[in-house]
Amino acid sequence: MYLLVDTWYLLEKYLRLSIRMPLWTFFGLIQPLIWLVIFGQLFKHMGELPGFPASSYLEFLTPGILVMTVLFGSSWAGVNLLREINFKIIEKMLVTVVSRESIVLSRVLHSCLILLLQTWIILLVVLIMGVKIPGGFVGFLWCTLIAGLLGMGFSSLSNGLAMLFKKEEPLVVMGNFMTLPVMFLSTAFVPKEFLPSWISVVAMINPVQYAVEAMQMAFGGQSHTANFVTPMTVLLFFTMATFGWTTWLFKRRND
Amino acid sequence: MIQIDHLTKRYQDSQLAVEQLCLEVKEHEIFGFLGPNGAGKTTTIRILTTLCLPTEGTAKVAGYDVVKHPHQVRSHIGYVAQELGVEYVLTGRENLILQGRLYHMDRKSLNQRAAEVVQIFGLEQVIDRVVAQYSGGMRRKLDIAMALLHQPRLLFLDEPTLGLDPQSRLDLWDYIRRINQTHGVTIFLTTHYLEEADKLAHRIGILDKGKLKTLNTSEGLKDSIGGDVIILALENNLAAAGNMEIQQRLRVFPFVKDILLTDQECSVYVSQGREALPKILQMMDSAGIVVKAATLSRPSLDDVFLKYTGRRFKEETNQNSSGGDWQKWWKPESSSSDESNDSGTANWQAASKDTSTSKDTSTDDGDGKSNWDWKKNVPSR
Repeated sequence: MYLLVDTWYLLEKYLRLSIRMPLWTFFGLIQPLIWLVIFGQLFKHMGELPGFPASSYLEFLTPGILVMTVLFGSSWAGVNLLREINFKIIEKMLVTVVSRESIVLSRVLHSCLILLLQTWIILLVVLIMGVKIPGGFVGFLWCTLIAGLLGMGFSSLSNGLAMLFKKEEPLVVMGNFMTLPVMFLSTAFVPKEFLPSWISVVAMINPVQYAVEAMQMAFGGQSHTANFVTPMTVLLFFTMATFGWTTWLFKRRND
Repeated sequence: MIQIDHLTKRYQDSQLAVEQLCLEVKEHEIFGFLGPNGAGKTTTIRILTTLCLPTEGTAKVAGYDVVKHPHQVRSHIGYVAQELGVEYVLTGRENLILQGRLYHMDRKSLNQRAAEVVQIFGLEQVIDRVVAQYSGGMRRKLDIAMALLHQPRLLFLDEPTLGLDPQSRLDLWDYIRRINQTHGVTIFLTTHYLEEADKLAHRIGILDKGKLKTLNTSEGLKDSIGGDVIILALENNLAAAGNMEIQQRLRVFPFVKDILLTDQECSVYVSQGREALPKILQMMDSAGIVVKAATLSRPSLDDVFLKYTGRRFKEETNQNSSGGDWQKWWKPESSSSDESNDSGTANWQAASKDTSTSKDTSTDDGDGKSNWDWKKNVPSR
């Protein structure tokens, strides 16, 4: 079983590429902080409304920003795959005996590592800004796991779209036109109690909503409750399904 | 080494890329697959390297069926694609080592083997530089070195010298010969350079529109045409009636083996060229047909191509330069099925029909004769 070894060497390559282009990696790390500041200021006074579920809007917003960071970052993962497809690097890999799962896994894990780094930076900045994490260290670990799963799920999806269509347009549609609506069709920025009823309904079929829910519960220290199981299960299945689909695309010899 | 049996590839748009291809490549030979753009060469290679599945037929590589046992096939082959599959940001060595890892080579034999291939291709000076700093020829060498790292028995080279300058091309031919002779690697090569197939390949298969037209050694192909070829440049576009008349008159001579007429030239394949030429010219003169120029030469692969496909081998130089790669980069959807690309074939035919313009503009990479511009009577190169 060469899955792990292959994955490790490919992951090493991607990390090396990231390190050789530090400027872009840096901008990628900084970008979510900009969201945090903009949204934090934009909706600041919502936290003062009666019935608001968190002690401050920033505290409420943090899990949402974490999900958004992961979603935005992973949705573009396929663009890098397109580069490798166009430069025939993927084709060269497919001619070797390397396991196809590890090609997808290494790419997805690479996206994940960068996203987790962003996640931790956000949490650190939030802590410095005086927000307390009600979930404590356990909450932090859960948040990391949720960010990882979501990142794997969406970067698999993005890689799959790149592999399937072999052009940028579907990725642009996903990265630009889908991510923002799915974020707003969830409880990421506005608590459930304040959502219009039709959005609450739509949110139920929105996979991102389950990630937001799980993240908010983990962050808020409710990871031990029974309600935590449903969003985590949905998230796990979503990730496995998209990963399976993308691996299948790499395995089929069809063009 | 390779057994191809009635292989057919039909793309989703029902375009036939390869049709009923039967072919055997022997161990230790350099097999050249010659054909214009869109002939189906790359599609064949993609099937043999397990990148895509055939629609019908079977193919065995190194004894393994490409459909049923792709893993075994992959472990025995090396593949050099038209475009370079190397990471520009990594050094040559990093690319090499990663490639070895992907073939599950252990550290010791990988380091040893990497040093070997670096030495074979004379890359010692540049191997620790990032690939972005390499010249085109060096990148191609690294590319081939990577493909040879795991000591494959069979190496696929898809248009290996595409876009290289003439010196690098000659240089690379030497390396390819050396790999074959010294290291006994069987080589399956596609090219649309007549000269490359002629100089490099032990046997040549001519592929046109997905069909194998003929298969033989370079000399065998030329011999199949006859002793010599006389090309007559004619004054007027020959109408169908005129065609028949010329053909009938020429066929009277016992030494004439075959005649091929295109719009403005007439290729006569004869057994004794030196004696035949004056007789033919006399006959044309007495028949009132104006011959502007006449060339006598040994047949080239271009003549072979003409004989088996009814067209001259014309290549669109523009499409084969790096501009082609650029286009592919922007239109990646066409790169996977470019061999079946309608427009590519259409352009190619249009170019070959318009003989006068293409003669002037294209520099045919064929043998000496096809580089001879019969209009100005000066060599075009």
